[in-house]
Amino acid sequence: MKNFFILRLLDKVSPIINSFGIDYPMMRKILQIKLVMDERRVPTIMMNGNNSKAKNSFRSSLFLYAFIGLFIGVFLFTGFPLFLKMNIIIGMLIFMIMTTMISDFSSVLLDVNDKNVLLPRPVDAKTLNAAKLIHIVIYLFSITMAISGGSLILGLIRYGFWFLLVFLLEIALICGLVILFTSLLYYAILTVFSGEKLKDIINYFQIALTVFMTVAYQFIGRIFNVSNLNMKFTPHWWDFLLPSTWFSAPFSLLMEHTFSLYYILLSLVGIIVPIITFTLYVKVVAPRFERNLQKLNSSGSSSKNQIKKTSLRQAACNLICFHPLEKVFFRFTVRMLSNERKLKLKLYPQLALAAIIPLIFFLSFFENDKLSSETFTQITQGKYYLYMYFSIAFLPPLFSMISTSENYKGAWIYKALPVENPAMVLKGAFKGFLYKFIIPIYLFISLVFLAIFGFKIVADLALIFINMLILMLIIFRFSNKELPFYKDFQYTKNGNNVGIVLASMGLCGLLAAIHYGIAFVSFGIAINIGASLVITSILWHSSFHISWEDIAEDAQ
Amino acid sequence: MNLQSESVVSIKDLRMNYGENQVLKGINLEIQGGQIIGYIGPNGAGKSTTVKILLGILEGFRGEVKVFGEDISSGSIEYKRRIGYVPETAEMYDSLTAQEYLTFIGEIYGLNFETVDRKASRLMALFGIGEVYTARISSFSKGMKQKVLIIASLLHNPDILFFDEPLSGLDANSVMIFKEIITELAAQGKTIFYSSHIMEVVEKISDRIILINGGQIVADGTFSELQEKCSEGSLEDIFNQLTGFKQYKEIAGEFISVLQEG
Repeated sequence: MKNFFILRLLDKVSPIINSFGIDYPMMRKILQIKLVMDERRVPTIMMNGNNSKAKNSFRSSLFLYAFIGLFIGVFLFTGFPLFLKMNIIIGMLIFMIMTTMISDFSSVLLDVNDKNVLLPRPVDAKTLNAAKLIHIVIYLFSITMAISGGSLILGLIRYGFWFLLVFLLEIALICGLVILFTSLLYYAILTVFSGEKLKDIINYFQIALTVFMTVAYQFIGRIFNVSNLNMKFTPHWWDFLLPSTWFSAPFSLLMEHTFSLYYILLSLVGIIVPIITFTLYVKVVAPRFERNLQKLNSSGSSSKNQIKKTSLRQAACNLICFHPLEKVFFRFTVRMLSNERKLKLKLYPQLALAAIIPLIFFLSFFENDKLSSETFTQITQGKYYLYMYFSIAFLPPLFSMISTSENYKGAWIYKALPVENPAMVLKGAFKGFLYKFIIPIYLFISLVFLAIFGFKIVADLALIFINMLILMLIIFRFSNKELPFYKDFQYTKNGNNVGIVLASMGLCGLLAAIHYGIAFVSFGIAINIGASLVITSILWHSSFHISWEDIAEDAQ
Repeated sequence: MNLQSESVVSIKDLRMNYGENQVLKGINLEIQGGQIIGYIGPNGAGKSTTVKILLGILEGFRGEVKVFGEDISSGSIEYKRRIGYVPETAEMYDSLTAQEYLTFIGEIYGLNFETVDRKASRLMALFGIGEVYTARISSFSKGMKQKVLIIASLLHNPDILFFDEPLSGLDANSVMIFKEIITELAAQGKTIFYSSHIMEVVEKISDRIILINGGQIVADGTFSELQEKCSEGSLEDIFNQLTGFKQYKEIAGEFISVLQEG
């Protein structure tokens, strides 16, 4: 079996690992098996084909991260204070690590398959847990290094060798903190809850944390008063709550020699918190984590959400679906979307981001921490309701995600069932997605905008909705036609979607520009609504001429 | 060491809850070596729970469980070296090849690679799947996977075996080989815990049958003892009687009539 470089590296520090009471040779074997399996994430249907696909997608996402990292690194050459620059870079790092940890590596941490294979055998829980952690660390560390690579090199050029050393140390601390912190939280949840409810709670927790990270990240820049490019920095007590400050403070101490109490305290927090987390983890979590994990296996009581005939969903279904088969798949899609935890985890943060993004732009109007009524009237009088297009640009690309599912193996039903026209499946799924996610989010944003701008924007909101439909249909038309819930998540790694997202943004910008321009013409909005409606209906009728030959068959 | 008289498994007043739901309501069991124990019961009776507790997969039970005289809640994993287990669901790392999986499992038990590799490939060949030894398990049929699981449970020559529905997916010929193997293993003094829903097989191979229902043992004895006690002919009839189930004909009839409704 392949002797991985990283394993040989671990061999060098094996005495340290042994000293924690971990059976190193055993852990090494488990880790080796895990790494071999990672290299082989290939769908069973294409067993004889190439097995480099999955690996490549991880590699290509690393290149993407490195590319982003380079841009972040360039930021070091700007004239802003070092503390600000490091805050933004480290904040970005923490954000990226935390979100990938939750979305991609939680499954490794919460894997119960391991238990059934390994626990009946003489492997102790601590060793298994250590193998899992190191498995995650290997991936997270390569992602982290890719993102911070640019900053490391450019920082070395700009600030010298000490910067590199401090930064490397900080990266290790951040990585460890994020992983252990997440495990601590999972442990707490595993202790308190059980059964199906536990899985739901974990799902909500993951969604909430991802949304929180997304929003919190927007606030890092706000610890500074950026006015007239004249950087003033005043310490606040709540700076201590942002982890990015803990890890940025040492740079001010060591590179700029600003020995204020504020920086010293922050740096200390940055050392003490990881130590506390580590101690808690080793003493409390590691010996018991696997034991509590078993709860994920126990079957819970049956769920209460029975299909009701007279629900709102049923009414909507009858209203917007015509063909009986379309109705069937509408209901199927809506039900699947509410039960697929993994899919929800991928979708909800994006939906939340779409809802929040215009508000974040509004926030940038309020500088210097004061809400002046002047700025508020300035906003309400202007055409800032067009900011809603920022949300609209985010929503349509999400539809492509419904082709993925954790129960993708159940997709054989499409083949076995007498479905003559796959267009009905896709129409049902399209409308189901619209009903379940897009419309509620749209309504939410509309309510917020109505509250800010008043009823004069009702016609604009209607136009925005129709334009959103146009956008969705165009994206649908030009992307692969894929059946809902038929493939595994690993085939939708980062990268593939970037093109669609960019196209969506461009198109959305165009529609927004037309909307903006035509508002100066009398009855312009009405004309625009009419035109958009015609385009929508043409697109609707021409996009669903789909036969089984058009369906993207393979799960690659 | 005389396995025949040693109490290999000893369970005293074992209770287990899943939340509010009481799954095991005081199980008492003494098992001596060299027996094939048929462990039967309706779905959800607590069979798998008992086995999982014995294997150390499940914790949080009350009562005393000893395997080879060692209390399993002491946290020691040593007793697991003498246990083999075939789970009900074919859970394994199936992106590995059979060779990789089996040698990995063998190495966990502390066998060296060459030994396991040689043993595993010969066992695979004997089961008629020698030619896929280096192929990925995910390409295997259900029966082939089951054979790999059986081999994985036996590689380290354990003293107790837990088989949960071990015949699922096996063809008739392999079933015959397997039955012969476990009879021979029992004759060598090994204890076999055999859990299944196929009553005919349990009836034929078991030295002792334990019927569990609603988290309690409702019958315990040899097949002929159970026959005497219940005055029924087959294990299936005994099962129906002891679990209080008689109306299978009525239910089937109603099932058919529901199918025929418009």
